[in-house]
Amino acid sequence: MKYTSKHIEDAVEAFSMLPSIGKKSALRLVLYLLQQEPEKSDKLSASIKQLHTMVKSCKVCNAYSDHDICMICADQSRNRRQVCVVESIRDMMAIEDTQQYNGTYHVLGGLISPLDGIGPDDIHIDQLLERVKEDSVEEIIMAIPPSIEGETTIFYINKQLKGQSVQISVIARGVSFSGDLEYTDEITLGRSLVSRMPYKGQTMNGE
Amino acid sequence: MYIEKLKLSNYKNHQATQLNLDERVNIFVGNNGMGKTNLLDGLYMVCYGRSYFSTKEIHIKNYDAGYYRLEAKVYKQGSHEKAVVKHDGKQKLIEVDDVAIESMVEYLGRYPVIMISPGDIELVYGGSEVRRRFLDQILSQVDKTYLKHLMAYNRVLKQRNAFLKQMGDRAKQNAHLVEAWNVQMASHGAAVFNVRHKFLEELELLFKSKYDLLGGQQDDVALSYKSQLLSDDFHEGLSKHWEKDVVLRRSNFGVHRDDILLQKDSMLLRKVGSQGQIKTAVLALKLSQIEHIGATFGYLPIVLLDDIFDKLDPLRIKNLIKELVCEQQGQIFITDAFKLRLVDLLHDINLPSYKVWVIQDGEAELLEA
Repeated sequence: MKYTSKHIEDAVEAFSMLPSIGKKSALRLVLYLLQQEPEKSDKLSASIKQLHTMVKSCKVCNAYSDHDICMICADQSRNRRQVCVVESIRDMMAIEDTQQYNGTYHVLGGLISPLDGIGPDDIHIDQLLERVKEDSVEEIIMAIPPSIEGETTIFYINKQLKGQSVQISVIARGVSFSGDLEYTDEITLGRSLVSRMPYKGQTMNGE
Repeated sequence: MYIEKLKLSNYKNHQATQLNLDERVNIFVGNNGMGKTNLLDGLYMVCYGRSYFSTKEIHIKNYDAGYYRLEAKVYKQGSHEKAVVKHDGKQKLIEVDDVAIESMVEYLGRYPVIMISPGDIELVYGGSEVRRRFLDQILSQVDKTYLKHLMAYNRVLKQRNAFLKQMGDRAKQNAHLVEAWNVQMASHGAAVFNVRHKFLEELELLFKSKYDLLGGQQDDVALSYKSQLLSDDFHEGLSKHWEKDVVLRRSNFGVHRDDILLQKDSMLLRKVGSQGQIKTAVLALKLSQIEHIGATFGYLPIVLLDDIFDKLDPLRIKNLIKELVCEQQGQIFITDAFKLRLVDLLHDINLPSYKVWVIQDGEAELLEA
């Protein structure tokens, strides 16, 4: 593509660094910004600039935060005896969105996978173990995807916690809500049968 | 089940080939290099979602076009379906009746298909991975749970091997991690073993009967399952082999070391068998595969016979064709360089309907009977 301005070209380059933004989308965004009031671009660049200087990792759970301790960890109404272990911040946000959970989190920042060069020391497992000791955590909920790497990580953490009085649970794996049984794959369906629950007349929200 | 119509666009050397197929027997004749085998591979690809011969997509696309498209109209259990396998230049897409198929796992086995080609001789001469692939090809077409356990097992194995490779002696300091993989290998591996074990018992008998049928009654040929799991369970086996794993930096125990043992007079067939016996054994394996799939699904797979006539004596060829065409009622495709040889043979066995196509430079022309 030929550009009439070197500055536009630079901006297009910069935008197309972002995932799923190609050269054409980048140009559309740049031209849009040029046609708007300059304040809009200022606001955008200022907020981008602040990202790395202002956002840090929470010292307790590793989630992104503006302070040393994130909003969830600092919230006195949340149950610190309960820690939900997740792979990534996105998974943590997904669980927050359910509004079903009032404990705290621990973000591992990856799963054990030698194929990707990730061993137990490369993710935040040690920090979790320390937390269990110091905060006298009562329950750890593993909200980790049921992949080989996920199972390996859960197994490993479980072993590391052996001998401590903390209870370890894994989120239920099974038939999806409003899912058809006949379309559920056999491994999932088999698992759901094995880990069936007594019926207590509860609704899908657990109420 | 049979394919009514096949359309190839830019698939290997076929730019635009369209065939209205016979529901029983279709014969492709033509000189070498004209595209007979490519046509069979196109059929395989549209049924199985993968090429039988080329593992890389780059060898499949017609050089200039940058894409290919295969379309088959399939008659299956009373209804007509349209299957499309295509490459848009970026990725391969599979559709059935214009609905995209999300995963290969979902597609595998939808239109069961078996290829018989000269390369199958590797089933006897090749390494154990060839025979495991043969097993997995059958079992994953008929049993999706098997396929999932197999894929999971292979993933654990890869992780465990990567770990052993990276850590060397230090692997021993990380017992908990190794245990995590061992537990998963055991659970997925045992599932794989149980399915293979049960199937091999059936295959043993099936193989023998097919071998006899092809004309080898006088030979003492046998097939059996070879697996470390027959003597040790995963728990014992993995701990027995642990020292060796650390030294060799890879996993030495599990179903990834399984094999099918082919023997004649209690010795390895590939060492003591004649050319004819070895070829007969290969065909017997393939016929067993066809029968097992047919029995499981309730209809026969599509059978593709690629250029097998140079390799067998006339009696065995006749027995093979008789079995496929007269005894079984599935759809078959046969390629040969010489038209007369095949047509004479089909005449001999009184075949009611068939179509013959001449393939030249990636174009197919129907011969009038």
